[in-house]
Amino acid sequence: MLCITGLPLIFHHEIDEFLYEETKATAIIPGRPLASLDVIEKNALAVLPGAFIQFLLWDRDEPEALLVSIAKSPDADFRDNRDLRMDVTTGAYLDEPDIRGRLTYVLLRLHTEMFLGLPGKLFLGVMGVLFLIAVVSGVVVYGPAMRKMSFGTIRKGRSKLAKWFDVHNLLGAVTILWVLVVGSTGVLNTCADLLIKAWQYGQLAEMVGEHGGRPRPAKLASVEAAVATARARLPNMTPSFVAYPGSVFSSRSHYAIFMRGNEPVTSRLLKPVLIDASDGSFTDTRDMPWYVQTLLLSQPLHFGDYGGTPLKIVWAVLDVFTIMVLVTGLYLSGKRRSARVRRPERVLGVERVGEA
Amino acid sequence: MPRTRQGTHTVWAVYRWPVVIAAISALGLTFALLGDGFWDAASWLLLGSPALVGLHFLARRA
Repeated sequence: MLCITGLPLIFHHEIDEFLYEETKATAIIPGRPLASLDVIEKNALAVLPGAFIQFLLWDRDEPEALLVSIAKSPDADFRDNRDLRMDVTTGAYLDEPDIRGRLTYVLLRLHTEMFLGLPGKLFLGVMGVLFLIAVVSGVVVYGPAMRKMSFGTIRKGRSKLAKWFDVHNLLGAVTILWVLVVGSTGVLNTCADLLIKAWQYGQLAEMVGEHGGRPRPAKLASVEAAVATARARLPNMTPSFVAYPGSVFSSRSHYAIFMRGNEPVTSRLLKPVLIDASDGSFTDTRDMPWYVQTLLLSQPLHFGDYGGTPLKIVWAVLDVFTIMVLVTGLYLSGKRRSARVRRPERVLGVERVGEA
Repeated sequence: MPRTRQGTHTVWAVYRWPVVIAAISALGLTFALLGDGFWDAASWLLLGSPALVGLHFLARRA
Protein backbone atom coordinates (compact mmCIF):
# COMPACT_ATOMS: atom_id res chain seq x y z
CA MET A 1 0.00 0.00 0.00
CA LEU A 2 2.78 2.43 0.96
CA CYS A 3 4.77 1.59 -2.17
CA ILE A 4 1.75 2.01 -4.43
CA THR A 5 0.56 5.36 -3.02
CA GLY A 6 4.17 6.49 -2.82
CA LEU A 7 4.84 5.88 -6.52
CA PRO A 8 2.74 8.76 -7.90
CA LEU A 9 3.82 10.95 -4.98
CA ILE A 10 7.39 10.88 -6.33
CA PHE A 11 6.03 12.97 -9.19
CA HIS A 12 3.54 15.04 -7.17
CA HIS A 13 4.96 18.30 -8.47
CA GLU A 14 4.66 17.23 -12.12
CA ILE A 15 1.18 15.77 -11.54
CA ASP A 16 -0.07 18.96 -9.90
CA GLU A 17 1.37 21.04 -12.69
CA PHE A 18 -0.30 18.85 -15.30
CA LEU A 19 -3.71 18.49 -13.64
CA TYR A 20 -4.25 21.87 -12.09
CA GLU A 21 -3.92 25.18 -13.76
CA GLU A 22 -2.29 27.96 -11.80
CA THR A 23 -2.15 31.64 -12.56
CA LYS A 24 1.31 32.40 -13.89
CA ALA A 25 3.37 34.67 -11.68
CA THR A 26 5.56 37.43 -13.09
CA ALA A 27 9.04 36.14 -13.93
CA ILE A 28 11.73 37.43 -11.60
CA ILE A 29 14.14 39.76 -13.39
CA PRO A 30 17.47 40.09 -11.56
CA GLY A 31 17.91 43.67 -10.40
CA ARG A 32 14.22 44.46 -10.51
CA PRO A 33 12.94 45.08 -6.98
CA LEU A 34 10.44 42.65 -5.45
CA ALA A 35 7.23 43.73 -3.76
CA SER A 36 7.51 44.53 -0.05
CA LEU A 37 6.19 41.72 2.15
CA ASP A 38 4.06 44.37 3.88
CA VAL A 39 2.27 45.03 0.57
CA ILE A 40 1.82 41.29 -0.06
CA GLU A 41 0.43 40.97 3.47
CA LYS A 42 -2.04 43.80 2.91
CA ASN A 43 -3.19 42.43 -0.46
CA ALA A 44 -3.66 38.93 0.98
CA LEU A 45 -5.74 40.19 3.90
CA ALA A 46 -7.84 42.21 1.46
CA VAL A 47 -8.89 38.87 -0.10
CA LEU A 48 -9.79 37.37 3.28
CA PRO A 49 -10.70 40.32 5.52
CA GLY A 50 -10.75 39.79 9.28
CA ALA A 51 -8.51 36.72 9.12
CA PHE A 52 -4.96 36.26 10.46
CA ILE A 53 -1.78 35.34 8.62
CA GLN A 54 0.05 32.39 10.16
CA PHE A 55 2.79 31.73 7.62
CA LEU A 56 4.56 33.10 4.57
CA LEU A 57 6.13 30.27 2.59
CA TRP A 58 8.54 30.46 -0.31
CA ASP A 59 8.26 27.50 -2.70
CA ARG A 60 11.71 26.29 -3.73
CA ASP A 61 10.28 25.07 -7.04
CA GLU A 62 8.53 28.35 -7.79
CA PRO A 63 10.42 31.37 -6.46
CA GLU A 64 8.12 33.75 -8.38
CA ALA A 65 5.25 33.10 -5.98
CA LEU A 66 4.79 33.34 -2.22
CA LEU A 67 2.22 31.29 -0.34
CA VAL A 68 0.37 33.18 2.38
CA SER A 69 -1.27 30.80 4.84
CA ILE A 70 -4.25 32.36 6.60
CA ALA A 71 -6.32 31.23 9.62
CA LYS A 72 -9.46 32.38 11.41
CA SER A 73 -7.44 33.19 14.54
CA PRO A 74 -3.68 33.60 15.20
CA ASP A 75 -3.43 30.24 16.98
CA ALA A 76 -5.96 28.16 15.02
CA ASP A 77 -4.97 24.69 13.77
CA PHE A 78 -2.92 25.33 10.63
CA ARG A 79 -4.41 22.28 8.92
CA ASP A 80 -7.59 24.33 8.38
CA ASN A 81 -5.70 27.26 6.85
CA ARG A 82 -6.48 28.80 3.48
CA ASP A 83 -3.44 29.34 1.28
CA LEU A 84 -3.23 32.27 -1.12
CA ARG A 85 -0.62 32.47 -3.88
CA MET A 86 0.82 35.96 -4.27
CA ASP A 87 3.11 37.39 -6.92
CA VAL A 88 6.49 38.27 -5.37
CA THR A 89 7.26 40.92 -8.00
CA THR A 90 3.98 42.84 -8.10
CA GLY A 91 2.60 41.76 -4.71
CA ALA A 92 -0.74 40.97 -6.36
CA TYR A 93 -3.05 38.11 -5.43
CA LEU A 94 -2.79 35.26 -7.96
CA ASP A 95 -5.11 32.47 -6.86
CA GLU A 96 -6.10 30.13 -4.04
CA PRO A 97 -4.97 26.62 -5.01
CA ASP A 98 -7.38 24.03 -3.61
CA ILE A 99 -4.57 21.86 -2.27
CA ARG A 100 -6.91 19.66 -0.21
CA GLY A 101 -9.04 18.79 -3.20
CA ARG A 102 -6.09 17.48 -5.16
CA LEU A 103 -5.43 13.87 -6.06
CA THR A 104 -1.90 14.18 -4.71
CA TYR A 105 -3.24 15.44 -1.37
CA VAL A 106 -5.56 12.41 -1.06
CA LEU A 107 -2.63 10.11 -1.89
CA LEU A 108 -0.43 11.87 0.64
CA ARG A 109 -3.04 11.47 3.39
CA LEU A 110 -3.41 7.78 2.49
CA HIS A 111 0.35 7.36 2.43
CA THR A 112 1.00 9.07 5.76
CA GLU A 113 -2.03 8.34 7.94
CA MET A 114 -4.82 6.66 5.91
CA PHE A 115 -7.21 9.49 6.94
CA LEU A 116 -7.02 8.27 10.53
CA GLY A 117 -4.93 11.08 12.00
CA LEU A 118 -2.32 10.29 14.62
CA PRO A 119 -3.38 6.63 15.18
CA GLY A 120 -3.06 6.03 11.44
CA LYS A 121 0.36 7.61 11.44
CA LEU A 122 1.57 5.53 14.37
CA PHE A 123 0.12 2.37 12.80
CA LEU A 124 2.01 3.03 9.57
CA GLY A 125 5.16 3.78 11.56
CA VAL A 126 4.91 0.37 13.24
CA MET A 127 4.20 -1.27 9.88
CA GLY A 128 7.31 0.45 8.55
CA VAL A 129 9.41 -1.03 11.35
CA LEU A 130 7.98 -4.50 10.68
CA PHE A 131 8.71 -4.02 6.98
CA LEU A 132 12.35 -3.20 7.77
CA ILE A 133 12.61 -6.33 9.94
CA ALA A 134 11.16 -8.39 7.08
CA VAL A 135 13.72 -6.92 4.68
CA VAL A 136 16.61 -7.79 7.01
CA SER A 137 15.28 -11.33 7.44
CA GLY A 138 15.18 -11.56 3.66
CA VAL A 139 18.90 -10.73 3.56
CA VAL A 140 19.58 -13.50 6.07
CA VAL A 141 17.76 -16.22 4.12
CA TYR A 142 19.15 -15.01 0.80
CA GLY A 143 22.52 -16.64 1.51
CA PRO A 144 21.35 -20.25 2.00
CA ALA A 145 18.86 -19.90 -0.85
CA MET A 146 21.47 -18.74 -3.36
CA ARG A 147 24.24 -21.19 -2.52
CA LYS A 148 23.81 -23.16 -5.71
CA MET A 149 23.02 -20.33 -8.08
CA SER A 150 24.98 -17.45 -9.48
CA PHE A 151 23.73 -13.91 -9.05
CA GLY A 152 20.82 -12.87 -11.21
CA THR A 153 19.89 -16.36 -12.44
CA ILE A 154 16.25 -16.72 -13.36
CA ARG A 155 15.61 -20.37 -14.09
CA LYS A 156 13.73 -21.15 -17.27
CA GLY A 157 11.44 -24.07 -17.90
CA ARG A 158 11.14 -24.85 -14.21
CA SER A 159 8.02 -24.41 -12.17
CA LYS A 160 6.41 -21.00 -11.99
CA LEU A 161 7.23 -21.01 -8.31
CA ALA A 162 10.96 -21.32 -8.96
CA LYS A 163 10.84 -18.44 -11.41
CA TRP A 164 9.01 -16.19 -8.96
CA PHE A 165 11.47 -17.19 -6.28
CA ASP A 166 14.37 -16.13 -8.53
CA VAL A 167 12.72 -12.80 -9.42
CA HIS A 168 12.14 -12.17 -5.73
CA ASN A 169 15.81 -12.81 -4.93
CA LEU A 170 17.17 -10.78 -7.83
CA LEU A 171 15.04 -7.69 -7.27
CA GLY A 172 15.42 -7.94 -3.52
CA ALA A 173 19.20 -7.92 -3.95
CA VAL A 174 19.31 -4.90 -6.27
CA THR A 175 16.89 -2.75 -4.25
CA ILE A 176 18.09 -3.68 -0.75
CA LEU A 177 19.98 -0.54 0.23
CA TRP A 178 17.48 1.84 -1.36
CA VAL A 179 14.61 0.07 0.39
CA LEU A 180 16.36 0.26 3.77
CA VAL A 181 17.07 3.99 3.32
CA VAL A 182 13.61 4.93 2.06
CA GLY A 183 11.95 2.68 4.66
CA SER A 184 13.89 3.98 7.64
CA THR A 185 13.57 7.65 6.62
CA GLY A 186 9.84 7.04 6.18
CA VAL A 187 9.59 5.65 9.70
CA LEU A 188 11.52 8.68 10.96
CA ASN A 189 9.01 10.94 9.22
CA THR A 190 6.13 9.38 11.14
CA CYS A 191 7.81 10.83 14.26
CA ALA A 192 7.98 14.35 12.74
CA ASP A 193 5.09 15.77 14.81
CA LEU A 194 6.67 14.45 17.97
CA LEU A 195 10.10 15.90 17.15
CA ILE A 196 8.61 19.32 16.37
CA LYS A 197 6.73 19.27 19.69
CA ALA A 198 10.02 18.45 21.43
CA TRP A 199 11.64 21.43 19.70
CA GLN A 200 8.79 23.76 20.71
CA TYR A 201 8.98 22.85 24.38
CA GLY A 202 12.78 22.71 24.34
CA GLN A 203 14.74 25.11 22.17
CA LEU A 204 11.93 27.45 21.14
CA ALA A 205 10.90 27.99 24.76
CA GLU A 206 14.55 28.69 25.67
CA MET A 207 14.96 31.19 22.84
CA VAL A 208 11.82 33.05 23.79
CA GLY A 209 13.02 33.17 27.39
CA GLU A 210 11.24 35.60 29.70
CA HIS A 211 9.09 36.93 26.82
CA GLY A 212 7.14 33.66 26.91
CA GLY A 213 4.14 34.98 28.84
CA ARG A 214 3.63 38.14 26.79
CA PRO A 215 0.39 38.45 24.79
CA ARG A 216 0.27 38.91 21.03
CA PRO A 217 0.95 42.60 20.19
CA ALA A 218 -2.19 44.41 19.02
CA LYS A 219 -0.24 45.89 16.13
CA LEU A 220 2.54 43.83 14.60
CA ALA A 221 5.85 45.36 13.53
CA SER A 222 6.63 45.30 9.78
CA VAL A 223 7.21 41.78 8.50
CA GLU A 224 9.36 43.15 5.66
CA ALA A 225 11.68 44.76 8.22
CA ALA A 226 11.70 41.58 10.33
CA VAL A 227 12.80 39.47 7.34
CA ALA A 228 15.42 42.11 6.43
CA THR A 229 16.82 41.92 9.98
CA ALA A 230 17.00 38.12 9.74
CA ARG A 231 18.77 38.35 6.36
CA ALA A 232 21.27 40.83 7.81
CA ARG A 233 21.97 38.46 10.73
CA LEU A 234 22.49 35.46 8.44
CA PRO A 235 23.70 36.92 5.13
CA ASN A 236 24.59 33.51 3.66
CA MET A 237 21.11 32.12 4.11
CA THR A 238 17.74 32.53 2.39
CA PRO A 239 14.34 32.77 4.08
CA SER A 240 12.31 29.57 3.74
CA PHE A 241 9.22 30.55 5.71
CA VAL A 242 7.99 33.05 8.28
CA ALA A 243 5.90 31.93 11.26
CA TYR A 244 3.70 34.71 12.64
CA PRO A 245 3.12 35.33 16.35
CA GLY A 246 0.72 32.78 17.79
CA SER A 247 1.31 30.10 15.14
CA VAL A 248 2.71 26.68 16.09
CA PHE A 249 6.25 27.51 15.00
CA SER A 250 6.66 30.69 17.03
CA SER A 251 5.77 32.36 20.31
CA ARG A 252 2.78 34.66 20.82
CA SER A 253 4.94 37.77 20.54
CA HIS A 254 7.60 36.86 17.94
CA TYR A 255 8.04 36.44 14.26
CA ALA A 256 10.13 33.32 13.61
CA ILE A 257 11.95 33.57 10.29
CA PHE A 258 13.25 30.15 9.27
CA MET A 259 16.36 30.56 7.15
CA ARG A 260 17.86 27.87 4.95
CA GLY A 261 21.33 27.49 3.39
CA ASN A 262 22.10 27.84 -0.30
CA GLU A 263 24.03 24.60 -0.89
CA PRO A 264 22.16 21.37 -1.74
CA VAL A 265 22.71 19.90 1.73
CA THR A 266 22.41 23.11 3.77
CA SER A 267 19.28 24.18 1.87
CA ARG A 268 17.48 21.36 3.70
CA LEU A 269 18.53 22.60 7.11
CA LEU A 270 16.64 25.40 8.85
CA LYS A 271 17.79 28.03 11.31
CA PRO A 272 15.11 30.12 13.04
CA VAL A 273 15.61 33.83 13.76
CA LEU A 274 13.27 35.25 16.38
CA ILE A 275 12.22 38.86 15.91
CA ASP A 276 10.17 40.69 18.53
CA ALA A 277 6.86 41.42 16.83
CA SER A 278 6.09 44.45 18.99
CA ASP A 279 9.11 46.55 17.98
CA GLY A 280 10.93 44.54 15.28
CA SER A 281 14.06 44.04 17.37
CA PHE A 282 16.24 40.94 17.11
CA THR A 283 15.74 38.39 19.92
CA ASP A 284 17.76 35.24 19.17
CA THR A 285 18.91 32.76 16.54
CA ARG A 286 20.16 29.20 17.01
CA ASP A 287 20.84 26.09 14.96
CA MET A 288 18.02 23.63 15.37
CA PRO A 289 18.75 20.61 17.61
CA TRP A 290 20.26 17.46 16.08
CA TYR A 291 16.98 15.53 16.06
CA VAL A 292 15.26 18.16 13.92
CA GLN A 293 18.31 18.41 11.62
CA THR A 294 18.28 14.62 11.20
CA LEU A 295 14.60 14.73 10.32
CA LEU A 296 15.12 17.56 7.82
CA LEU A 297 18.06 15.79 6.15
CA SER A 298 16.21 12.48 6.02
CA GLN A 299 13.27 13.94 4.12
CA PRO A 300 14.89 14.26 0.69
CA LEU A 301 16.19 10.68 1.08
CA HIS A 302 12.59 9.55 1.46
CA PHE A 303 11.03 11.77 -1.23
CA GLY A 304 13.78 11.40 -3.87
CA ASP A 305 13.26 15.03 -4.82
CA TYR A 306 16.84 16.20 -4.52
CA GLY A 307 18.46 15.27 -7.83
CA GLY A 308 16.20 16.39 -10.65
CA THR A 309 13.83 14.34 -12.81
CA PRO A 310 16.28 11.49 -13.65
CA LEU A 311 16.63 10.72 -9.94
CA LYS A 312 12.83 10.63 -9.62
CA ILE A 313 12.68 8.13 -12.48
CA VAL A 314 15.29 5.91 -10.78
CA TRP A 315 13.22 6.24 -7.59
CA ALA A 316 10.13 5.08 -9.48
CA VAL A 317 11.89 2.06 -11.05
CA LEU A 318 13.25 0.94 -7.67
CA ASP A 319 9.78 1.42 -6.17
CA VAL A 320 8.22 -0.78 -8.87
CA PHE A 321 10.91 -3.42 -8.17
CA THR A 322 10.04 -3.26 -4.48
CA ILE A 323 6.37 -3.78 -5.28
CA MET A 324 7.38 -6.85 -7.33
CA VAL A 325 9.49 -8.17 -4.44
CA LEU A 326 6.49 -7.77 -2.12
CA VAL A 327 4.06 -9.43 -4.53
CA THR A 328 6.35 -12.37 -5.27
CA GLY A 329 7.12 -12.66 -1.57
CA LEU A 330 3.43 -12.85 -0.68
CA TYR A 331 2.80 -15.36 -3.46
CA LEU A 332 5.72 -17.52 -2.34
CA SER A 333 4.78 -17.50 1.33
CA GLY A 334 1.20 -18.41 0.41
CA LYS A 335 2.35 -21.29 -1.79
CA ARG A 336 4.91 -22.40 0.72
CA ARG A 337 2.34 -22.62 3.47
CA SER A 338 0.05 -24.80 1.36
CA ALA A 339 2.98 -26.88 0.10
CA ARG A 340 4.69 -27.31 3.46
CA VAL A 341 3.73 -30.97 3.63
CA ARG A 342 5.04 -31.53 0.12
CA ARG A 343 8.64 -30.54 0.87
CA PRO A 344 8.78 -27.05 -0.57
CA GLU A 345 12.55 -27.12 -1.07
CA ARG A 346 11.97 -29.61 -3.91
CA VAL A 347 9.52 -27.25 -5.53
CA LEU A 348 11.93 -24.38 -5.27
CA GLY A 349 14.93 -26.43 -6.29
CA VAL A 350 17.01 -25.20 -3.41
CA GLU A 351 18.32 -26.76 -0.30
CA ARG A 352 16.96 -25.20 2.81
CA VAL A 353 19.32 -24.43 5.60
CA GLY A 354 17.32 -23.86 8.74
CA GLU A 355 13.88 -22.33 8.52
CA ALA A 356 13.59 -19.93 5.61
CA MET B 1 30.89 -20.48 6.33
CA PRO B 2 33.64 -22.06 4.18
CA ARG B 3 33.12 -24.06 0.99
CA THR B 4 30.62 -26.72 1.90
CA ARG B 5 30.04 -29.16 -0.90
CA GLN B 6 30.76 -29.35 -4.58
CA GLY B 7 28.74 -26.89 -6.64
CA THR B 8 27.90 -24.62 -3.78
CA HIS B 9 29.18 -21.10 -3.23
CA THR B 10 30.88 -19.65 -0.22
CA VAL B 11 29.11 -16.93 1.72
CA TRP B 12 31.30 -14.31 0.09
CA ALA B 13 30.52 -15.60 -3.39
CA VAL B 14 26.80 -15.43 -2.67
CA TYR B 15 26.80 -11.97 -1.15
CA ARG B 16 29.52 -10.39 -3.32
CA TRP B 17 27.28 -8.82 -5.97
CA PRO B 18 24.54 -7.70 -3.60
CA VAL B 19 27.19 -6.02 -1.43
CA VAL B 20 28.75 -4.26 -4.44
CA ILE B 21 25.30 -3.08 -5.58
CA ALA B 22 24.46 -1.84 -2.08
CA ALA B 23 27.74 0.13 -1.94
CA ILE B 24 27.06 1.70 -5.35
CA SER B 25 23.50 2.59 -4.25
CA ALA B 26 24.82 4.22 -1.08
CA LEU B 27 27.21 6.40 -3.09
CA GLY B 28 24.42 7.31 -5.49
CA LEU B 29 22.06 8.32 -2.68
CA THR B 30 24.78 10.46 -1.08
CA PHE B 31 26.16 12.12 -4.22
CA ALA B 32 22.97 14.00 -5.14
CA LEU B 33 22.94 15.46 -1.62
CA LEU B 34 26.43 16.89 -2.02
CA GLY B 35 25.90 19.17 -4.98
CA ASP B 36 24.17 19.92 -8.24
CA GLY B 37 25.33 19.36 -11.81
CA PHE B 38 28.17 16.82 -11.72
CA TRP B 39 27.01 15.34 -8.40
CA ASP B 40 23.46 14.88 -9.65
CA ALA B 41 24.63 13.21 -12.87
CA ALA B 42 26.97 10.89 -10.94
CA SER B 43 24.09 10.01 -8.66
CA TRP B 44 21.83 9.11 -11.60
CA LEU B 45 24.48 6.73 -12.95
CA LEU B 46 25.30 5.17 -9.59
CA LEU B 47 21.75 4.72 -8.29
CA GLY B 48 20.49 3.94 -11.79
CA SER B 49 22.90 1.01 -12.20
CA PRO B 50 21.12 -1.32 -9.73
CA ALA B 51 17.90 -0.55 -11.60
CA LEU B 52 19.62 -1.43 -14.90
CA VAL B 53 21.08 -4.64 -13.43
CA GLY B 54 17.57 -5.66 -12.38
CA LEU B 55 16.09 -4.83 -15.79
CA HIS B 56 18.94 -6.66 -17.55
CA PHE B 57 18.37 -9.95 -15.76
CA LEU B 58 14.59 -9.64 -16.05
CA ALA B 59 14.91 -9.05 -19.79
CA ARG B 60 17.23 -12.03 -20.19
CA ARG B 61 14.47 -14.28 -18.92
CA ALA B 62 12.19 -13.27 -21.77
